[in-house]
Amino acid sequence: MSWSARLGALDRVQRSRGFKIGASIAVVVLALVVAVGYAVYATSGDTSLFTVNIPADIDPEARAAIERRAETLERIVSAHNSVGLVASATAIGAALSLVVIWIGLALTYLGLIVLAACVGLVAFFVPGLRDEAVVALGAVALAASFGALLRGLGLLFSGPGPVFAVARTVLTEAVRMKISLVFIVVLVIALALLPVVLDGSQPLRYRVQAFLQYATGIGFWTVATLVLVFTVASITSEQRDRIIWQTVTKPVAAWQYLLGKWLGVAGLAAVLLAVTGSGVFLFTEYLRGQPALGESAPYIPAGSNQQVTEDRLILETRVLAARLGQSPTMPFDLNGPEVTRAVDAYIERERRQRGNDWEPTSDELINIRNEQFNQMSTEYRSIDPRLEGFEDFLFEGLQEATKSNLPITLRYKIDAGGNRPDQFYALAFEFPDVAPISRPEVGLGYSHTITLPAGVSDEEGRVLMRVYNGSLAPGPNGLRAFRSNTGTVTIPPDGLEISYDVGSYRLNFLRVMLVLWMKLGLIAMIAVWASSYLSFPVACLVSIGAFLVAEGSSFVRESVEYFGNNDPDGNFQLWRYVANLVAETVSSIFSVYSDLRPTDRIADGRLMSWGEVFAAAIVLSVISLILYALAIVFFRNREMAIYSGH
Amino acid sequence: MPDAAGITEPGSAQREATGPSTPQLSGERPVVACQKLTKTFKDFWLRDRARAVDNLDMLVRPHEIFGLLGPNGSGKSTTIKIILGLLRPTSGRVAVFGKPPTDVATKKRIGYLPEESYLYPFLNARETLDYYAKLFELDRRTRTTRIDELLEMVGLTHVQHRAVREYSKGMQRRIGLAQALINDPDLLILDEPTTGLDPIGTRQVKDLIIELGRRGKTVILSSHLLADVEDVVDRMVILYGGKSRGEGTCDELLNRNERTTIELDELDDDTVAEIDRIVRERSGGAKSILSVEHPRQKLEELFLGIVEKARSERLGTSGAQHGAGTAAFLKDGANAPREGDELIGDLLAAGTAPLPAVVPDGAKAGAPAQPQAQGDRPHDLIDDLLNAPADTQAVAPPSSAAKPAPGHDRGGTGAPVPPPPGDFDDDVIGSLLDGTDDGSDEGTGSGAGDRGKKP
Repeated sequence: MSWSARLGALDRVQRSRGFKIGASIAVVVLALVVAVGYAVYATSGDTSLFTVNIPADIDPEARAAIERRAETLERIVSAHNSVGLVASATAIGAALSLVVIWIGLALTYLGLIVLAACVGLVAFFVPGLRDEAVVALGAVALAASFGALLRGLGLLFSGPGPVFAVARTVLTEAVRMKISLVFIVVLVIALALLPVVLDGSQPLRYRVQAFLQYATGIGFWTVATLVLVFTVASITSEQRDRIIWQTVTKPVAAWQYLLGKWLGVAGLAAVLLAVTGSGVFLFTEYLRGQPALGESAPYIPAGSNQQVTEDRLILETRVLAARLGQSPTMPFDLNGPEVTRAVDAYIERERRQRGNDWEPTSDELINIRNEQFNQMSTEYRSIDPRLEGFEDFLFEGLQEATKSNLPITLRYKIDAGGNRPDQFYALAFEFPDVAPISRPEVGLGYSHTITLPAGVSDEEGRVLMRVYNGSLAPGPNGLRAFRSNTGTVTIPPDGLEISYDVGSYRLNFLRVMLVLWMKLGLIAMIAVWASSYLSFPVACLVSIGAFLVAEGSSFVRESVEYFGNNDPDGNFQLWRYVANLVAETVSSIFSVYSDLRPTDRIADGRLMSWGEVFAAAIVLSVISLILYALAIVFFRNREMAIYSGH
Repeated sequence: MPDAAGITEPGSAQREATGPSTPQLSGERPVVACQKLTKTFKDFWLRDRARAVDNLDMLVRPHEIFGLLGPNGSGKSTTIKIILGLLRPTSGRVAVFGKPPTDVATKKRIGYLPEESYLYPFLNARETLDYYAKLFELDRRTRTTRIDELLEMVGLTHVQHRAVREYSKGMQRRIGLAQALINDPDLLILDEPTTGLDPIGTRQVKDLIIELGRRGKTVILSSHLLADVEDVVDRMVILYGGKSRGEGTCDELLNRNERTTIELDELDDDTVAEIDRIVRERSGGAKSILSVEHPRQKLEELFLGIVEKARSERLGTSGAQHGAGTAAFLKDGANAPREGDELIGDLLAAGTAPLPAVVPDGAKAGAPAQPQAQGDRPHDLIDDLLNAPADTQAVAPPSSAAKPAPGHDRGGTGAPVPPPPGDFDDDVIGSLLDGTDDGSDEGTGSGAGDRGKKP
């Protein structure tokens, strides 16, 4: 009998009702033996843990004190060893074991436990292989989670009816066909290896951030690629190999078949994402419990004069957080009087050049207003040292930050000249009732952060900040000496932000995983739609292309602003116009998808609110439904006995 | 009146054109009706490339086993795919149970076995049947019962947990047949069902088709294996180039009424010569014996006999085992054959002793034997042969009363012509017959030889 046949036989044994009943009885009996046995042990005889030998000639008062102390210690220790606690733990363990048995994975888990024990033994006796042992244990744990979740999903899809039947077959195909198995193995191994490749000498916050970024990103992209390729392969191969004939000649409507395919793939994606997410979350918690930079032990600074190290503070408040950001309020808006005056001035100048009867069209008027607004915004965000040398910025809507009374974070970025990497500018930040904060060397073109004290925002949730293009130093008579930089600094549109913690990192992580799954659901529907009328290679190209466009649509949207319809000489180019039109249309369709950025948010500790999750659900569902409807129309009109024209 | 697919049944003129034995319409709607059905395949540029079905008119009536014959490329499979909605007709109309082929609800009543077994390679037999059963929304208990019965019927119980990709072609055909029956369909469409099957499997499929036909199912059987079709169908259409070239029952299409075959025990040359002389004399020289040969046992019968013997000796095999009888859920108790005391009681009540069953001449191998009708008893015929006056005995044409009703008798030729009495050597005649109605061999003279037993 081949190994696969043996494994298949073992699988049938662990799924059989007789085995499940027998194993359940064994687990219950074992749990009872443990619980009752411990109870008997704990309540019989002298179970005191602290035996104190008190000399006979000791002072009676001292004796009494020693006896009281022993009694207290006994009570403390026995509270942790209470019968109730052991019974609860035994019950929980037994319950989990019963779940594993009844989903038909008892022998599988037993095998995995034996494997993990062997790996543990290796790590115990061969210290040099500790990292490899950790990787192997991680892979075993991920594989066990995957097996359990997949089996549970299979049970969920075990009902009669075409939709569930097709969905369940998709799950079976995913596990038994090599194409999906390869992806799954790669994912499990990659996630298990990732912690090992982190640079241990780096600050803990960078390691955690890097792990969150790469693990979530690798997990999402791997699963997304699997979803695309597997969905297309599943549907197109059935048509090519004519297997679909024996499905569509049964009472199965097109919508049922396609929905079943999508449901199976979406379920598989959910399982893989759950495994990935669990692994990422647990290892992040593990990393969190490691000593940060400057700590002698987790949460214990090495220096006696510190309450918390900077590394730990940033990790807990900015990385493992759910922060909301606020940009400064512009002192004018697009349709305000200031911009209108600027537009009028522009029109006046143009009339002097073109003639008094020149009148801009409505489109030209819109463009002129946008240009004037952008120009004014840039001027506002530019700090010229030859003028005042500073600019005020007002942040509003920070009531929650005020209420929470927690430190807030200022993120800033400046551009100057050509943003040479060897050039540094001095900046200073001033807040009411707070000592100025100076930064003597600020690199150009990338973000920096400052942690601000809670009291920097007023009761109405506003923060008024003055930014100096130079350094501030204490001067005589309580004044401050300002030394300006030589050149103008410009703060880009996203160059200033105040952020604050508004929720739990753990719940935020869950929301991020939900959003990732919704994105995968849309990707699966794109693949279903493409496969409903295209052959495998073409459907793959279309699906992957659509996925890349969706992922990159925010970049495309930003680039389109600079692309323009005219060539460098100012001549209108039709192809540019068409390219812009297509790019804008496609990027706007996927704008919600690309603006979500769940991976970046979790790595930066940004909030993914429930409102955004629901909004994303609605928008992505609408797009998915449109694609689904199109797929049904294409599928129904296909002649199944013809594939690729044959 | 047109049905949902807009098809009207052909008028009486059309029925007459197919021959007097065309089953009379009983008011039942045809199961499948094709009216001027045409299918032309086009290329990418929408140019006509091949006309696979050309103006085909076809009716499949309820409860009949209908054969679709033709050489490769004649349009059989294309017709079936149009009936099932896998292809759309270029022109013409198709109705299945009065509905268009794309109607989803109608497919609950259809079972389909394609020309090749297109199965999920990663599923095993049980999972395959479970999947298809779920498509019919069968509950768990029904699924389990039917799957067990079907696996036993097709002889795959012992390999049910092996992946389909590891099956031989014959085994895949068996599981394909099982999935076609999982829903106990009213209309079963079989496209080359015996492809890849050994003779025993072929025999079992044919028996199953007969059983289903007896139960009142409608079966469309497409094949280019003529012997398989001939054994089981009630009516057939022969296609060539997408057109119908012939349609009717087996008897209408196959009987050669201009010839007569008489099967006897072995004869010596002198006896044969004497019979030839008699025939010439009676026909005035116009007719004579055209050929004398020993009938051949069908290879299928020989093969089945050998295998049965091997099975009885309990020799092992690693392939598909030959299954049990028809699955219980496919049998209908109301029409089950009568057995034992019930049969004897009925016959005694009719006042006659049960007659030995005979297999009519030309009967299909494996077909159930038909009990003799009174008028067909050789004793009466031979009496006529011996006793009728020579000058008054007309050559009676084959009795139409003795002709079996279409669709119910898959064999039999006409009754022998009674010869004029008195002109024959009784010894010769006696040597041809055993002279009794209980099958005992008394023998009457020289040349009798060893006749063996009547079948």
